[in-house]
Amino acid sequence: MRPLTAQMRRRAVREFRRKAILHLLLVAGSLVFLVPFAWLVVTSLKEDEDMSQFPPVWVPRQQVKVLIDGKEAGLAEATYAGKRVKAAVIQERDTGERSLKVLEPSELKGKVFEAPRSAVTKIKQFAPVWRNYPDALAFLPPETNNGLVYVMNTLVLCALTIVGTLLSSSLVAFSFARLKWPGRDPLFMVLLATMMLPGAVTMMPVFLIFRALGWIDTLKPLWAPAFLGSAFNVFLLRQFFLTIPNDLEDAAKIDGCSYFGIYWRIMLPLIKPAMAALTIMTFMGSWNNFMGPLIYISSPLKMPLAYALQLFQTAHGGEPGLLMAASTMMMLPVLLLFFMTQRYFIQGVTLTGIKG
Amino acid sequence: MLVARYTRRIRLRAALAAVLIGLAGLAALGGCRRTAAPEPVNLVVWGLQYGAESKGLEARVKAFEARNKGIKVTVLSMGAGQMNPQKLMTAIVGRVPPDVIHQDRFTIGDWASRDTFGSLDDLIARDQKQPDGIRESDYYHACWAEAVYNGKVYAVPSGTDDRALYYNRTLLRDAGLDPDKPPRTWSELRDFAKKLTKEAPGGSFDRIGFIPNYGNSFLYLYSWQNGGEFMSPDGRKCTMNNPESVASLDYMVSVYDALGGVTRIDSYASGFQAQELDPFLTGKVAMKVDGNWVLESIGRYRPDLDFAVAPAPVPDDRLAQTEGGKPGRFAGQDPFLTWSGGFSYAIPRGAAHREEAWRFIKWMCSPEAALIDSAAQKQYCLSKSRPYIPTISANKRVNEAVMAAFAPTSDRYRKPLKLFMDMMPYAKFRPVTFVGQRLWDEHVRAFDQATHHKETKLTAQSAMDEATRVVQSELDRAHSRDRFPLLGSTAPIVVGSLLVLALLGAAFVGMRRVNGMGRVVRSEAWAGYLFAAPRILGFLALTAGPIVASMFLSFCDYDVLHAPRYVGFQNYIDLFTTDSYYLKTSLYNVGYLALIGIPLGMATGLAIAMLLNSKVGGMSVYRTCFYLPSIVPVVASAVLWAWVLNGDPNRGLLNAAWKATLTPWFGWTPPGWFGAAEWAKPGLIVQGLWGAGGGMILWLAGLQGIPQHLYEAADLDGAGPLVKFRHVTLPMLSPYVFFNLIMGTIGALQEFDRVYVLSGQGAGGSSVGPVDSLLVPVMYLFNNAFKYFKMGYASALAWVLFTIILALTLVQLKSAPRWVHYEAEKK
Repeated sequence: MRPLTAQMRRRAVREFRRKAILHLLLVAGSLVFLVPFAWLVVTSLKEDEDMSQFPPVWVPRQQVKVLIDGKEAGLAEATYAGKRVKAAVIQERDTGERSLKVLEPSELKGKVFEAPRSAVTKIKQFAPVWRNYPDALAFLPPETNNGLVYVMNTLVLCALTIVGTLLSSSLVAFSFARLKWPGRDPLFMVLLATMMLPGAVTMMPVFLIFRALGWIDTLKPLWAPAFLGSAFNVFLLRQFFLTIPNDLEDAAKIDGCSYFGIYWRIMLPLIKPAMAALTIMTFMGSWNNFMGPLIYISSPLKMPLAYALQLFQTAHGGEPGLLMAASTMMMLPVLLLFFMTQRYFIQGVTLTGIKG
Repeated sequence: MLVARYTRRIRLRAALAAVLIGLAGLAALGGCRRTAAPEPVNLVVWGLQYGAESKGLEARVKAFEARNKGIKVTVLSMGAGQMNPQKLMTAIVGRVPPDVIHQDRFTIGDWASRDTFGSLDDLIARDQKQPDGIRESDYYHACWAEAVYNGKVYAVPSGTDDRALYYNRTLLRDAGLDPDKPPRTWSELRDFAKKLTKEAPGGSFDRIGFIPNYGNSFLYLYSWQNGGEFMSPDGRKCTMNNPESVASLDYMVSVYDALGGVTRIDSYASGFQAQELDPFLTGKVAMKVDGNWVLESIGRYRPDLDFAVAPAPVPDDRLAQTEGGKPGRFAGQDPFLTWSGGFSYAIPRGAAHREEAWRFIKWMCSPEAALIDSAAQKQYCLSKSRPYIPTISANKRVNEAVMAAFAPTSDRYRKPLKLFMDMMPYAKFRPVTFVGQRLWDEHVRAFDQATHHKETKLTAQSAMDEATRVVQSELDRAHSRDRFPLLGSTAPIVVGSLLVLALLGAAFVGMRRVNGMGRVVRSEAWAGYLFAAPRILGFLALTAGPIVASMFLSFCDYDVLHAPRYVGFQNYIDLFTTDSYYLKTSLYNVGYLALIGIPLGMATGLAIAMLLNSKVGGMSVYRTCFYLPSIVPVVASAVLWAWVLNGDPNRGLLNAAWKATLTPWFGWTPPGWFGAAEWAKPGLIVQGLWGAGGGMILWLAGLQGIPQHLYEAADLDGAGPLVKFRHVTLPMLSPYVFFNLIMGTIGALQEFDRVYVLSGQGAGGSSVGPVDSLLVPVMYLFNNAFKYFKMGYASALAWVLFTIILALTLVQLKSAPRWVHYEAEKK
């Protein structure tokens, strides 16, 4: 092997330094972006009294419990007979006084004494407060004591929206991309133009339409429109249909395949990746849909999660442990979905960006 | 022949497909349809909440069900005790109202005026002689009068409450004050507040003596104490800016200023917790004006707290009764007064079971039910070894019965409770008017603006003038409503049929052209129409139709419950004249968010993308880290960031980091974020930046699309990294910048979800963020459309918003050729 010249060594050092700095920056940046997640989870596992501390408590902890005379008691530190002692809190009086029984040192063991609340320091160890999770579920909604109702509503909503979106958008996009009919192109331009229209303009009349149908306080206004396609999704899938070569279609036509057959048997399988991306985007959209339920749903039993979480916040704003547990539960499925389908996720974003 | 069969088959298949989709939709609809009506009457009651602490309420309702076998009661809290008016309004307008509503009494006038509640006069009169009848004479005047609008009774008062000063005797003693001599006048109160306040290093507090608007007092109480009234007796004039009320607002401001300013206090207060960590119970607040309900939580969480209750302090000359030796302006008046509020039962219009609802209301307001309630609640309290403290009823007979059987045994609670009950005859109540909610919202806004005078530059007088003007214009508008003509059915029918004709014409022309074509082409055309039918239908029903309707609405006054009136351009005029404050504020806020937020977001996304594009190992891991926050549901993200950006450094993560670094280094105090007017929008931007990783994917794709030879050429010219970025990267990315800019602008102008969550709108907040610092156009629109149901006004606003978005997009499109570089064009 040839010995390294001074120049090569310099270049290697420079390259190493560059990489080190880049990694440093990337790690620091990643940390900044991930810290709120950590804070969320930690807060959901902390005791209430640790919520308001400076510097912040990062490790969930609870008072150590010991068995004293067959009963569970908290472990604490206090001063007795001029000495720091380890003792079990055997009684908490309404007046704030605590009764303690000494455990250590051994010469004082078994002695019982009283101390004011402020003179007693709890001994704590790492122990997450899991209770917040079932508690948060039980609070939601208070009427049923079962937060799963919300999860169920959200899942129903997502499923129906996805089915509707996939069916209608692909069918319509197929028509706009592969079939020729008079008025197709002007109509497509009109469709594109409506993408510009802010939802606020049609919000009130659409409410009146659903009111006339008697759909207020049902989930229907939230998913039924999906069966009519949306300009954006149609546009997205149309771009995909356009990229498929004509040969396949022509061959199918010669074989006597119907238009629906071409759509169903030939075209749909070819745009599967786009459909996957659309499925994920639609799922995210309806999982997160907030304004829809805010307008249309008034019974707690029919509310989806996103709105329920906001309600939960107004009701339990003073109990961050519960609130953060509820938030964690709301974002967990989305994060899991992301990890399972990362490829389609990224693809969906790139599609909507570049092709849009 | 063969071809004919062929086309028929195509049509058949296409028709089949359409039918299938239709069926799928119908099946889904059917699946969600409710099952047949249950046998017993299901009485739906809103505004009551069951929970661990409401054993009494539960017993009361159970006893009703036991006495009325055919009725099952469904109790819904609708937001945990806090009735969200938007929900109730939508339910009534949407014709799915509850049967009974337990509603805050001061809003009854408002609801009654809009015909959303039904009058109870016929039922009251019918049962007058019955033993369980509802009789006016049983009720405190302040309570009953609050449920009467235009001479008709719209609700039956249930519970009531009044307010007094709570103070922590230990803290008074520690500060060298006599715990037996609480403040009685405003100036004493301010002195005490200063003496009891302990500042903490870093601009925060260890304790605050007294916060004028903490607890439950509001400007209303101070104003009444000073002899002010918000409305003229006939209810046609808003008199909020009367000298007495302005002086009382000035007083509140002076207390805030004396303690270090509202921003600092709010940032301290944003860390207040509930229940056993309540700041009064933990000594973080030494005195507060609050309602009798606080006794319960003291008994529950701090049985050792050395506290006492006294009437709320009043203006000095009110107590003295004299001025310079002569009888003063308050001569002969009661020195102390209180404010009573509370709830009441009403029956919304269109309720399905009015008779059962009335039976329920009569039961809930009876002494018998109250005794059952108290017994159950007392048993529960004893099981938790805490004292039972009865609540106060609006019905005097109920109070007598309950106090005879369940009065607290210890003086500690009996004395304060007696003080609260004895104050009831001196209670004032908020004016019964259809602008009750508006009056409330505006008085909160005025308070907010006057205390934040450093930012708003407004005095108490000017803030109150503005609030008065807004309420007055609302009053005038309502009174002048009748002069506008009803919108007849002619105009909509003419326009509607013209549109239908145009549509039919287009369809006819299309059919002619299709029929003139060859068979194969024709069949393709038919299939095309059929396949596109869902979106065409959707376009007509959910886009085109609503656009026309929205145009119409914007020229109407329409609250859905009454026939629309044609008002011409009045909605637009109001928007730009009387209500210009809202338009200006919301546009300013959204402009701020867009001008700072969009470039910052783009820069962050691009910076991350460039780091990721630098070919180092582990890129997919880094990419996931940066991308993850952008997929977090908006509501969850907002809830999380409300906590991360908590103003109190002991609680908010970012402020803790700030306090540990920036404060010792530069002496900067941590900002109040969503609790401070000037920091709320930066807070929103910070929260938005967390999701900037979402844009990174696009930037990455763009960066990877830049041909390497351009950089190599630049290298040959001896260009440094900055020059390469400026002259190669940026121009090549300009289409992406352009795309982000347009989408970002359109998105920013329609900001809603996170603002709703972060500004606490769900809790019935009237100002959107401190001093409306988070008021955005769609938020204002939403409130008008679905809280006040001013559909016409909201539509006008929507069109203004649309015009702005359109104009901005056009400007961007027009400017694009000058700076957006498309590589393809050159080829």
